[in-house]
Amino acid sequence: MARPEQCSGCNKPTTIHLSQIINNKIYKLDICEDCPLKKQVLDQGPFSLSEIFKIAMPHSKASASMVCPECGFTLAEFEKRGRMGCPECYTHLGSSIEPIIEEMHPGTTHAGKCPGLSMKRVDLHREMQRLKQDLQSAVQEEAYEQAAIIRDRIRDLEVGIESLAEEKAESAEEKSGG
Amino acid sequence: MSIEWLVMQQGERKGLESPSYPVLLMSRIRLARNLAGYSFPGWAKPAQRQAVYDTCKEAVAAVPQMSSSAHFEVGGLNDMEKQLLVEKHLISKELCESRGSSGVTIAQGQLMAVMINEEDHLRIQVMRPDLDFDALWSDSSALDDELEKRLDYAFSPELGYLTACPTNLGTALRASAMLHLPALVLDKQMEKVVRAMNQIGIVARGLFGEASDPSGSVFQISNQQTLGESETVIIRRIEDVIRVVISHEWKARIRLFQGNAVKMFDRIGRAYGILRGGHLITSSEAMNLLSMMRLASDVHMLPVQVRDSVDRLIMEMQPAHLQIGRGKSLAPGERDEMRADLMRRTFTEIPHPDPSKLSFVDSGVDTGTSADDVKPDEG
Repeated sequence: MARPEQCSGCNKPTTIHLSQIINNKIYKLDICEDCPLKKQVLDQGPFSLSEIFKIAMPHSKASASMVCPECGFTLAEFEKRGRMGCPECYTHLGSSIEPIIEEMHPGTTHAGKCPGLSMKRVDLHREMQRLKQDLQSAVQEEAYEQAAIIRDRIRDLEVGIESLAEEKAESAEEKSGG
Repeated sequence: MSIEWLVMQQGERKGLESPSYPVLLMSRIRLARNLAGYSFPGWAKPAQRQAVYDTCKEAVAAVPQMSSSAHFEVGGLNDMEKQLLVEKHLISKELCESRGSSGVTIAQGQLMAVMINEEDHLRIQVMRPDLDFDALWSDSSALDDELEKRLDYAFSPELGYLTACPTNLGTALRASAMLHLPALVLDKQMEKVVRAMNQIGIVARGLFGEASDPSGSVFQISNQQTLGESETVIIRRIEDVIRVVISHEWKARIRLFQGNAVKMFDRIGRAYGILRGGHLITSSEAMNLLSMMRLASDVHMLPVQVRDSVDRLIMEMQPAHLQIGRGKSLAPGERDEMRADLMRRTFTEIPHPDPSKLSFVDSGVDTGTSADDVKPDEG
């Protein structure tokens, strides 16, 4: 079988050809002598080899051109840098790098510390989203009594979100003052 | 704040109240954090980088832990000053090479620092001269709490703290220790040890992070995985592994001295001779010689205080420390001469290594033999 002549990392002539079978699939990597990928491949990390295979693997054009609407980052860019563009990239491009995350870590769900106030804020915003959806469907169903109840709860929640912002500002002020 | 602030604090950092420990040089916890709504530093446009820098710098300055601290903007430092901070493990090489709008805030005592706009918006790091990851975690987490009161972190309940590199997702916590492992290196066991660690997601690197030469038998050991386990589980495992490595190092030391004591005494004696009498010493040669002196001190062939001097010298003999101490830049040859002067001056005050004082009392390993059994046989 003909081997690619160009390095997967930097397009120089290839000198190193590697094949590995992961989960019954053959992954091939062709790189040149002084490619930065080489060092990573030869580094005996616990997952580096398969990680590199996956990163160096040609994606379909459709997924490589996926764009994060927040920051304009693409999957093709991730393959080049190994870094994401912004926190929102994980929402918009996350599904494509899931296999890499699985390979890297013992689990795929966070089990550690959560930021207190940020978490509260996330929770309140989620609750707000849910209530707004409920309100919409209540109106559509012409359940006006229920819609009124939901509207009141949305108002309460708005107050809650505002006071959380104040709490944050206060706690910051308190600390910087003291 | 000037760079002199850092130089003047050198003594305080590992002062008398924080003595050195056998095998262990330093332990550290690093947390990566990012602000919601901003691109990561490597992808952000200059204006956004600046906005993140200003916001973070202000927040860091306001936390109580940083009430006495100094801030350095990378763009305002010359190459030598940057190198000085790298040698002190206060900033990374990556931060030095960053594209502007980046910096570091360092707390008094230099055991706590926050880098801004390195790979992530914030890199919180806390160090200790001993092995106590619980204390490191509680200090770094408290600093993190204070910062979170002032900043909106990028966080997802599923993936945890969102970081530029997927390798840091979840806890975004890297716990590491710098270990001095000369016996495992001499006994050719390091490869085996590194392989065993890799299998449970722990990596070993040379002294100054990725891909650097492990000269002086100093290795940095850290966790590789951050998602799917809690901070407590991660630090418990790494601390256990570090304790096992330390105990293997002691066993290898005992084996080496029991197997061929004269050879070990000779290595130590020669290293001492060069440090006391040399006139040109490169930094990698000095690392290897000092490594032997640290070993000699751990096994009581030299007074234990020598270990403090060795740790100070490991820092002071680095190129930037030497040059800033001299107040001018020096050619490599001149540096080697200055380094040798520094060693000679220090070791003139230190007695010869004494094989009769050999002892493994600090090993925590029950040797079953006294030091007498290890002394060279007549035959």
